[in-house]
Amino acid sequence: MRYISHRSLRAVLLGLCAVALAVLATGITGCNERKTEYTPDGRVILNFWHTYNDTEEAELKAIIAEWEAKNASWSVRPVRIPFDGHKPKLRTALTVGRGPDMARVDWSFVCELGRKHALVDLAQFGFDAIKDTYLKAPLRTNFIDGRYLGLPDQTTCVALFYNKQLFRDAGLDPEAPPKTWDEFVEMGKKLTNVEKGTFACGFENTLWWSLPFFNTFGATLISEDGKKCLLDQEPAIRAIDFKRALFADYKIEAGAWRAGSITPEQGFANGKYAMIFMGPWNLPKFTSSKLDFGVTLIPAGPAGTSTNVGGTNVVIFNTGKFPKACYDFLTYFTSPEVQARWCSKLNQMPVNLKAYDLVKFDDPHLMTFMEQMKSAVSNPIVTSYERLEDFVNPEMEAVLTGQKTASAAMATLARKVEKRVLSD
Amino acid sequence: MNTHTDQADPRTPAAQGGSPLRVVIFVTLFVAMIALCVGICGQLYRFLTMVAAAFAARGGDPAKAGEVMKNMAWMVDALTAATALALASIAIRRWIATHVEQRAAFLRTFFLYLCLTAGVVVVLFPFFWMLCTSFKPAGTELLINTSNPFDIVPAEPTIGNFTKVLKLDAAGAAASVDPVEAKKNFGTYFMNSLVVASLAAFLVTLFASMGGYVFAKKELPYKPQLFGVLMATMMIPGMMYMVPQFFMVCSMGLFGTKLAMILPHLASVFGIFMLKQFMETIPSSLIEAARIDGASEWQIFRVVIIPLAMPIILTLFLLTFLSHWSNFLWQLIVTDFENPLSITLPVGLALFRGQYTSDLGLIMSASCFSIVPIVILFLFAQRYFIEGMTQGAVKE
Amino acid sequence: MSAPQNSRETASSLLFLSPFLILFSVFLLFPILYSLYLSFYDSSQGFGLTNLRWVGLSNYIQILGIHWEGGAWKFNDPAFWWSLAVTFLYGGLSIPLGIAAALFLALLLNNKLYGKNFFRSAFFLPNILDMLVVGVIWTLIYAPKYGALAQISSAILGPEQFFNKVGPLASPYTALPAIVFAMVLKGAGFGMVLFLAALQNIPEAVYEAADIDGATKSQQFWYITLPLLQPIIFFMVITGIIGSLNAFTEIYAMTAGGPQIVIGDETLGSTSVAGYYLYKQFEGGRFGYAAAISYVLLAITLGITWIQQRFFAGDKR
Repeated sequence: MRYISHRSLRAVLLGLCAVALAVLATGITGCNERKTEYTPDGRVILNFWHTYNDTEEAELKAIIAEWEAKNASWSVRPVRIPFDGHKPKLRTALTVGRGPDMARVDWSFVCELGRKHALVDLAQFGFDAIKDTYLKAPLRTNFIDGRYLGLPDQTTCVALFYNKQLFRDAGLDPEAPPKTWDEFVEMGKKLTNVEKGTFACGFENTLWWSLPFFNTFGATLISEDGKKCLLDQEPAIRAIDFKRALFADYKIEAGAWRAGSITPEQGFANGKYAMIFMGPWNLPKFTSSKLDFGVTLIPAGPAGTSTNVGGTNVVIFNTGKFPKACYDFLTYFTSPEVQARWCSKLNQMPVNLKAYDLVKFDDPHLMTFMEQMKSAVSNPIVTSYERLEDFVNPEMEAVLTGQKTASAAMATLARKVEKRVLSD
Repeated sequence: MNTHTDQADPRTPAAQGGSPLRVVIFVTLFVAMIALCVGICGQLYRFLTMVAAAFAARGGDPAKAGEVMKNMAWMVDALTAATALALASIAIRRWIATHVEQRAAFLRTFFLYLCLTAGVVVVLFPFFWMLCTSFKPAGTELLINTSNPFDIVPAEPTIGNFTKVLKLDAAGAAASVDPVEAKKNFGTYFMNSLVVASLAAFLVTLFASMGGYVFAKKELPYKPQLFGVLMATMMIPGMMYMVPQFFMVCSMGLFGTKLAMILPHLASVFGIFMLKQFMETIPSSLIEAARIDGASEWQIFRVVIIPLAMPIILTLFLLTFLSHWSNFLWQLIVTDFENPLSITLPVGLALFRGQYTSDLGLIMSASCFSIVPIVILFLFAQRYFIEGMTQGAVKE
Repeated sequence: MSAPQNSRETASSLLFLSPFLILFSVFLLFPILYSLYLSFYDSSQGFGLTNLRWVGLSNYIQILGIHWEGGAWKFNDPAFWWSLAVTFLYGGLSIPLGIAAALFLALLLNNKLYGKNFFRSAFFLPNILDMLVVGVIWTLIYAPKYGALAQISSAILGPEQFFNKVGPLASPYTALPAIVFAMVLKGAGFGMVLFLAALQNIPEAVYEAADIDGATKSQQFWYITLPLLQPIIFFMVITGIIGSLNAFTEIYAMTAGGPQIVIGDETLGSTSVAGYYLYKQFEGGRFGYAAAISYVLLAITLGITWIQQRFFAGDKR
């Protein structure tokens, strides 16, 4: 009696399995791959996934129109995707072969894309001839295992922002910000006023935001061949120990890196932190909030002034059928004249050295950034930059909170990074 | 606060009749009530004038709106005082009217109300903070009112964040001749999300109530084992499903469609579990009675089970709606960005946000917009699942 | 029951269940099996689903195994074991607190009370806020010096105290409880609605009978109300376990796994729950490793649920 019901149940379950298998079978035959698309007037459409904002997108469209006027057979279709999430979007799209022809990606993403064999080597189009026209530090983020797999389209770095009013309040000359770390500490002691809740500085504690420390102390994080982690070397240890001292010994850092604290940006905007590292993207915001501030070079350490590199690169995917056309467009897009126009209009730093002389900004702060950019050192290049941060940030925090000494933390860290990050 | 407790309030003549301890408690609670009332009403009225001022100074700078607010400050104070007085008179009159023997019960209720009100303040504070922050101009989100740190209503409000989210001030995109580009606006994204979330919520609740009914009240061979398997699958974090589900959706040719956004999430084990657990509390005798009356299985489900489970079904509907309304990652990866009709609200909001914005005000005003339909849905559903419960569904 | 009735019942059950079962087997069964398959592979070679490298059990060995180093046995992946412990703590705090808060609210608002619908709605309302927004807001409430909590505590206790100087989220000992508190407040209204709905299904006659028998209010609660609410409590325990295992957005928004605590020479995130650790692997593109972790988690929680289920089943009737 029960047997009957079992049989019907089994039949239904078998049916369900069959449905699932059928779906799987269609899945294995592969996704509907992208077909080449044409414009009404017969041009081949190249899909370009970008992450620009409204004003940048408008400028991009103008540049595309110019380029199309010179090239009869190609058309670029700009498709905006959100910057938050452009990595998972590209990863999944590439998994099923629905990626674009070219894309604008965060600088840290090029290495993963390259090592997972998704990108086109630019050497075949003669990139070597023009590569030296690009700024070194941003270009270096495209140099993966001996090949150039992308080119920079937008670059940023951080410099030292300081609050002139707080300098005056502390009896310091607002036109003479610190030039070296020693001066920074000296002035910092005067700028800190615990009663009023103002601090000389507030810093993030992630690796990217700490790179100016490492770079001014002349520390290299990852060896040139990408196999060794050099965080346990003397310069790196001294850099991180100096950062600890700012917080723990000199007590001039606000502890802005702690979870739940006021971020450097907020603290600076509200006149609580006198000096912070910040990039050019916040210039309009601080200016509009009527803050009396200046921008100066990162204080010099043993290796002089230096900074980190941020920004984005543009890459060409090897799933596209027309990499050469993409390359032509992207080199046009980053050529000196186009860059000069783009940067002057949008108040951004050029990626092309030749464009440096062509841009002139009304904002003197931006000129400081252009100056600072020249001293930038390349960021560490690893397959998963997020993963590197996941290992480095906790150890740096352990040093800052005094739970570990800098040398002990960095020794464990270097071993861990080599084993778990660099071996990928 | 306790300084007043030594002597009875002279304005409560009936107090002399009660025991002194009760009077002391009453006065303490009374003072607490007035403090709470002044705190809440002061902030609420200030918030209202702030909104009015922000709109009055539309396009103008926040300082002007701040000026308007200052001019309206006396109104806030007057209204707060009036409310406090009204509450005070109600409380005192009730106290006098209450018979001496029932005063203990009265005090207990009074205390309960105060606690509940304080609880509501704590629980709803995030909403209020969100609303206030969304009116703050960029860079001032964390500025603190130095004279009164408890005052979180911005002194110089702006509606700039809202207009920015609605893209009203982006002249370029609105004037675009390209028909595809012109569709890339808040309205389109909003409608897309509405369709996706309501369709998903409807289907999930329908399928889950059917399934939950089987697991709670019907016979099926291997039922506990099957249920165990379902439960086990819930233990695997959802992000593990993402890549394979994306692969399947693509191979079905659904990439960039609204169907792709909902189909993989229709089989809600959580929903089945929730409804099963609730339906088990429905007495089986009701089902038996319906069966004896000759009702078909579907009729039993529709006439007996669904109405009784309505509060929970609506809760599930609301939760499912909510999760689809705010599901960024999945909708992001199945979105075809060349087609604005496949861009939903969370993805669309990320599109405007750009790379370097950490504007709290902007994020909060976007959140304000995105909770509007949920609040409306809630207010509508609330009639059934909050008030409905007071009716007393089952009486045997 | 006679045979035809029995099979008719089965057929109708299957019919009721079929939409769910079909969708389940198509969209969940395959991904689950695929994740299992993936857990034996290394996905660092490419983006396609075909060019995966077979690594056998090495993902599992990396997660579960131990090795000899510097004169002591050490875990291959101490961060995983730690995240498991944090998850237990998170669940252990949030589940009982969540149930207690929800039950308390439900019993309170099940009374005849003027304006109770308003209170019910108000307590449920936080559930409709996005987790990310709630996280951001609570971070700011907890913020030292400028946050609401710091302001209030300073007004009462003066400026030289923990909430004003450090803040609950910046100390490894208070960060997790602080997150739990925020999440309990957010979620209590949901449990309250479930309990309220179930309370309505308890026939009043039961209480009347108990009254006649002279049972006190607290006896009625322990011997009538609580047993009848058992399915809901069971539901809340299980969803609490699932919630703790999947906890990620709240951690991401509030502490990003920190603050760090050093144990031995390992630096570990005091709020790095398993779900967050898994997300980190996933974000780093290590799908195979992430899949293996989720299967280890599945095995562990199945064990716990089995015990849980036995406990509840033995208690039931």
